Amino acid sequence: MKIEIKNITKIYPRGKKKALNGVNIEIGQGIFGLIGRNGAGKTTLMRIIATIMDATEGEIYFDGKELKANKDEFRSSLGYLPQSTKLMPRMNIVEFLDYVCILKGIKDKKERKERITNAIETVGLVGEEKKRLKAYSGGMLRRAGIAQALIGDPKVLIIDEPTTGLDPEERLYFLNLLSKIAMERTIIFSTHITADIEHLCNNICVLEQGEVKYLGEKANFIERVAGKMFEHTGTKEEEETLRREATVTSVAYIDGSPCVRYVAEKPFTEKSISVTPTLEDAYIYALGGVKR
Amino acid sequence: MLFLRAIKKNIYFLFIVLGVLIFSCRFWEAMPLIAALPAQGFIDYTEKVVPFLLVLPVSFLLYDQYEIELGLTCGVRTTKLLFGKFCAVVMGAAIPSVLMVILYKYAEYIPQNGEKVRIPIFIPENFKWYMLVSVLVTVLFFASLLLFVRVATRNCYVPVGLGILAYTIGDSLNKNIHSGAEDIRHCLYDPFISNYFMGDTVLTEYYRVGPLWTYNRLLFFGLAVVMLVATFFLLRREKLHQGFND
Repeated sequence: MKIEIKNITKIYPRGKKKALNGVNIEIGQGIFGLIGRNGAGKTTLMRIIATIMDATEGEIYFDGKELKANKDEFRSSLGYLPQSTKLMPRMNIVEFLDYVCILKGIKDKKERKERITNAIETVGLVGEEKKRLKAYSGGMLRRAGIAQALIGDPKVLIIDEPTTGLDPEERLYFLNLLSKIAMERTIIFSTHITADIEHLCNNICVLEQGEVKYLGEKANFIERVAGKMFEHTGTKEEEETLRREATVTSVAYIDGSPCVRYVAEKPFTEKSISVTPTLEDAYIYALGGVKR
Repeated sequence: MLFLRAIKKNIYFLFIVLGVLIFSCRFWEAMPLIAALPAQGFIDYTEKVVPFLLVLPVSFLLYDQYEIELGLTCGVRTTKLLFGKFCAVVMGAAIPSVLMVILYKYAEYIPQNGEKVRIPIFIPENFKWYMLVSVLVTVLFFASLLLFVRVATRNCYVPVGLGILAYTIGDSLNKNIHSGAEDIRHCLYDPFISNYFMGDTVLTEYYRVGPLWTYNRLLFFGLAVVMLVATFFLLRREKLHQGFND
């Protein structure tokens, strides 16, 4: 499914600040990564696409159809996993998915059972059916959320910051799961952790203060800092100078000495070595570097 | 489907209420202390406190942003989701209330002086219908009031607060009319008018002033319908979930 976001602006009634300002994005099949720091407008955009919030201005089209006028049709092919990990704490996974099936309008009991079994198998929660959701770990809850989103066999999946608070193993499991279910689907995946989308998405959008900072292929985004990325291990004074004169993307202290990764037209001193840029370097550079 | 599911999920609650009810009926006589607490004992308890307490959960319906959003993304309107749950609560409140009314026939009223008196219920030929309709309207009125305030304010504490206030005012008016401190004509605005079906001196006066009961019940039923319609229109904007984080 193709989703076109045209000139979307969102102003919250109580706030004067624009949460989104003239956002234009085109999303095709596969996993699309939406990156931005906290408060950049990712969740607002996700909620507008998921039809749970209206934009102040602008339109969204899916397969050429206007979203607002065809909400029901879009919702029938939508799976949504919100940022909240609460789900339904007093239910177990089977009860929870059964409720979602009812909401999706699946009336046949046998069909519901079949779909629930498949979803639980897909997300690897077999054997955990009797536990209440409040007893699940963060990663299990995320998987339960994905099961919920998948239950209606959606063409579009909207997943809002799913890896926040997960341990590395759970995070990897979750990302692998996403890549597994991405075939023949459009997945919009938002995060503020660049490593999440490093190996997952080809197309990305960087949002900053409600505006699109970058939209396009991930490789081109990283290419913007290729040849300008350096690493310098030196003194604290040199670190301060680099912070003033270049765009610092990260600082790590090794044996008390700062190891600074920075973007500049040329190396700061001979001690600086050229390094291969990562998505994180390109992202931090796009946001203007690290401030602290 | 949603409504049936809501009923099924809350069915255990009904059994608890029925258990309490049967316990109260069976052992009321053996508990003069409890019976002596409210001025009218069992009657007051069953007509006012139980229906009100049972509709109070309406204030907390869909107080979960995630559930509303889940419903919306699944293509279920908030109106449908909320009214499905609302009907389940109203039924959960109405069934025990109605059963209580039926059980009046067998209940005993122990006045504060400890004297045992069988309730002299006024029994016209269709007394059950009068009683049942009266209690059902009371349940519907308070449930609709709580639902309307819940949706209008997108809050659960405000409806609980306002509900208790409305209950207190209604109860006070009812008691004042009953004790003769208030003009009998004011019973038009009394949400607990079914009290007048209990035989006493007020009943005689009540009949003397005309078909007030009918007007009263029509008024409260009308108010309930107006609040339900207003709630429906408020929900049509599908913004109940907003305001949690905005």
